Amino acid sequence: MNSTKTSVIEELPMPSMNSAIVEFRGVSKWYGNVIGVNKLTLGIPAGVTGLLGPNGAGKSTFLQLATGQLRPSQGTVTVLGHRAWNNPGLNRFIGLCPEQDAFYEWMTGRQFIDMCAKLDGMSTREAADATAKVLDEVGMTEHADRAVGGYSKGMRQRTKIAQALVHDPLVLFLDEPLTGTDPLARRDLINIIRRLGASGKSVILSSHVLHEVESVTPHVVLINHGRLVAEGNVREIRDLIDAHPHRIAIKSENDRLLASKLVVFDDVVGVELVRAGGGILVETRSPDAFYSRLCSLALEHGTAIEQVESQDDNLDAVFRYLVNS
Amino acid sequence: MLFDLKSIRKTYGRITALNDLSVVAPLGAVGLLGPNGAGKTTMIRTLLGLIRIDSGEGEVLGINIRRKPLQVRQIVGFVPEDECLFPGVEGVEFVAYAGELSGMGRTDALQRAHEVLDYVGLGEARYRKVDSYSTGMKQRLKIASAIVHDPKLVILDEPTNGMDPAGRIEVLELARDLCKNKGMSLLFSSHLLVDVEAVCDHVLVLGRGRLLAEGTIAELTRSERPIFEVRVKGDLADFSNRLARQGCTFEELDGVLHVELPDGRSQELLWSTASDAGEQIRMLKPLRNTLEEVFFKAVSELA
Amino acid sequence: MPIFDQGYQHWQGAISGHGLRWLAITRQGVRQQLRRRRTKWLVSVAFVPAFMLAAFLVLWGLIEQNSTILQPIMGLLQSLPEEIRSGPKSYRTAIWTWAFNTLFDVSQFFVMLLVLAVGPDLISQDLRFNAIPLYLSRPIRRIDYYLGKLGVIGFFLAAVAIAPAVAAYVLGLAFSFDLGVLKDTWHLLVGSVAYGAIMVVSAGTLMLAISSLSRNSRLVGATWVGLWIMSNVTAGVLMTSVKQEWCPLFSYTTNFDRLRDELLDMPAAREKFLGLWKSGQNAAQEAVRPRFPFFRGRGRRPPPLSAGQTPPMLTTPVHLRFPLIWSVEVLGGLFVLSAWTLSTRVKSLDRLK
Repeated sequence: MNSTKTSVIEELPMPSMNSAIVEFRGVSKWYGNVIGVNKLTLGIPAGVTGLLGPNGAGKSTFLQLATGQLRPSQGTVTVLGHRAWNNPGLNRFIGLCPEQDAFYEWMTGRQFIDMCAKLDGMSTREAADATAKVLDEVGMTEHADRAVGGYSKGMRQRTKIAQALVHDPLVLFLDEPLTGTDPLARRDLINIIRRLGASGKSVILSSHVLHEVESVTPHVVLINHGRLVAEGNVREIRDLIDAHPHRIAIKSENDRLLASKLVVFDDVVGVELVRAGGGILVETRSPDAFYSRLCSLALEHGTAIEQVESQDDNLDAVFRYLVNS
Repeated sequence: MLFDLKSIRKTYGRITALNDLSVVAPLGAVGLLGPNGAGKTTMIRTLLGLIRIDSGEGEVLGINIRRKPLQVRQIVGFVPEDECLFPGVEGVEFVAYAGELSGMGRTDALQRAHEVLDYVGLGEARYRKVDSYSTGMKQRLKIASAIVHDPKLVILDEPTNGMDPAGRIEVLELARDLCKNKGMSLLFSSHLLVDVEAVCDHVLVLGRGRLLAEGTIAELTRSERPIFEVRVKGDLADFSNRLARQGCTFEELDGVLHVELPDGRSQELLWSTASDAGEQIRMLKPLRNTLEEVFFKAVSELA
Repeated sequence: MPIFDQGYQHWQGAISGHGLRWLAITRQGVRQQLRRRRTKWLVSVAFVPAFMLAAFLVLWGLIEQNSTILQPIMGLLQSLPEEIRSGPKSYRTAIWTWAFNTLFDVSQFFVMLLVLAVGPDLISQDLRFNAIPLYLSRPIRRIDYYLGKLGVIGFFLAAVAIAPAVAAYVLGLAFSFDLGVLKDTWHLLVGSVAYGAIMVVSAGTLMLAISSLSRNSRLVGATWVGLWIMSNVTAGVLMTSVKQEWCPLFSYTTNFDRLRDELLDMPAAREKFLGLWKSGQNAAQEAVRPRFPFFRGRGRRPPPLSAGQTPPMLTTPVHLRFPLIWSVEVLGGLFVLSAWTLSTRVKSLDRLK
């Protein structure tokens, strides 16, 4: 180990469960007149967090600020309690899997990751060990000795994640890691991400494929126009969206009768009859009150309920409501 | 019948892309699934008549792909996966040019281009150069140029890859509308199984150049045993114990209960249990295999 | 009044036959190139030699008829050799041949420039923006694509080299008031068109082939210029050092010159002028003051020559003294090479992803 290596961070205080791993305080960044992020203040805790937003929302700017590639025009960005910008010592603890697909095509996967490991400061032996370990973790061991140029999209993504993991970072930033992967590779990658989150690392996952983000974590950060729109648990966020009443789909033995019974209640603001025997769609302002009376209704004569499902208690709907409003 | 391939075989050197592939697809929206390297791209190119196959026969909408590939492409529209443009032209000219290449006259092509651009929702942007379009707009432009010559079949190769949620919804809606309301057949090839489920009725699963599974989505995702997915507000463990006492078998996954009711009982059992326990049932629906599970099951036979 | 469906509607219209698909590609390419100012400027400048040719033919026609319009410049015409003044019609073929040859010689330069202006973008842009799948997934074949792109170059070359030559011919014919001209010079018309066609095919396919080799159209343009210049330089160097008969073949444009020489039947014209010069020499030796033959009324005095040495203009130039078949082989070989390059670079989609 190179003992003369100067590092700003020798000993990193382990963050407590509630303190933020990545913290933005009043951060703004503009490129000339174009604003990338606009007075962003948020804290991302440990575990897996989804970073969502439409195209042009500022997600890539966010990631670049968080990994110290960009300097904030205003405000402070701290990762693990230390300033992110111009802090090469911090790179030891951060891993980034970027969106762009740029490899040295002629290298084999193993050579590439080995090179990254050595760039992180490991000795030859340490690098070789770390490379083997991380290749095994992403499931690329059997393909590791082929040139990257011959890899499929899924293999390339896995190699990218491997290079982000090779130095065992505490915080991992993944920018669209699942693009173009087939369902098999996607399942493997999602399992890897889940495992990383469970093992105490912080993973910030930026992705457009909402149902996959949902399957990995309930905790999300939603950005639009460079500003923070919402942050927290998906269900909690949903409850806070007043403007859109909850939509619940119900199928029963007699839809119209059930509808007539439901319309009586105050919190029910709309009942829609779905065509072709699709049941009914109820809109309610207080889901709790609504669900609590369903049991008795279901046991009443003539309105046995066969199916109940919330239509918009998911990330897709939350995203749509928040981004379009 | 949309297309009918019989024992298609295609090799590239040592790699066998299509290995005695035989498949019949019905009209309507057909999904094409398969892991990387399964031969989806090769199959699509075979359908377009762009490939010289080693052996086998095939027909697309009744036209022989070996003998009349140009005629096939006359009635098929293709939306490729990669980024591709005719450089330096405006949107309207792009689509009109595509029409001209399919044999339409200049005025016909221009008039039709405007119609089709209205349909896909590219308004004023059609007078701007295509180089300046966003990803979503480029995708819609590609779809427009694929339908300008009014094909009977549109092949979409990974149409929602890398698009943001808003863009995806638009493209899927377009696809659904084309199929359900305008009578076009679709071949929808995608890795995002959720999208395939949203648009298609019928799926084909390929693997290593062969057909692994096919059928309507409704059929394939039907569960063998009548199991219900249940989610409650409060204590799941307590609820499940109560159910167990009444003869149900269950399994818990990620906060959701998969319950199999004893013979002859209906959902009424669940409601009465909840009522007794003072519980709220927040979700109740019959368990269906997701398309993902169908996919994994089909592909597992490969390994 | 019914409400009309605003959504997607089906279309049943006429589809053109297959033979003309390439025309759509040509039209699009021409439209795109004409948008550029430099192309328009180049095309208009390239017409100037054609104007000059037309003017000259008109002048000659008037000379033939001893027209009164020429009164003002009668003085200049006095310096023309006796034989020409007395019987212009017998020199008609030679003069016309020589005039057309000069036109093509000058416009050769513009032709190469024009190919440089419109050529590089044709295929390299398609490769760069990955438009090939968009083309091939339509009901067209690769050959339609090539023909269409070649057509763009063909259009511009036809506009600049062939059409003006034909127009000038017709003008010259009109001003001669003598259909005998047609009998004497029809081979020029045919030769011009043939020459133009050969240039289109040869230079066109070569440019398309280079264009298909790179995604950077500037690099393609630079390669074209390099080829043009370097081939001339190489030929020049070889001619002075090695001094073999085949040395001029290295210059790309020289091959065109050789073909043109043959197609327009320049040797016959040169023979005619040689005869004229010889008789002039004899007359000069008889007269006290030597009279130098004047050409074209321009008054350019060739340098005084010692007896027995023919002026360079009257004999086949040094760099064209080799068998025609060699040029044909060189151009043919280049064509085959270009065609092969095109077919491998513009890959059909029959390959592994």
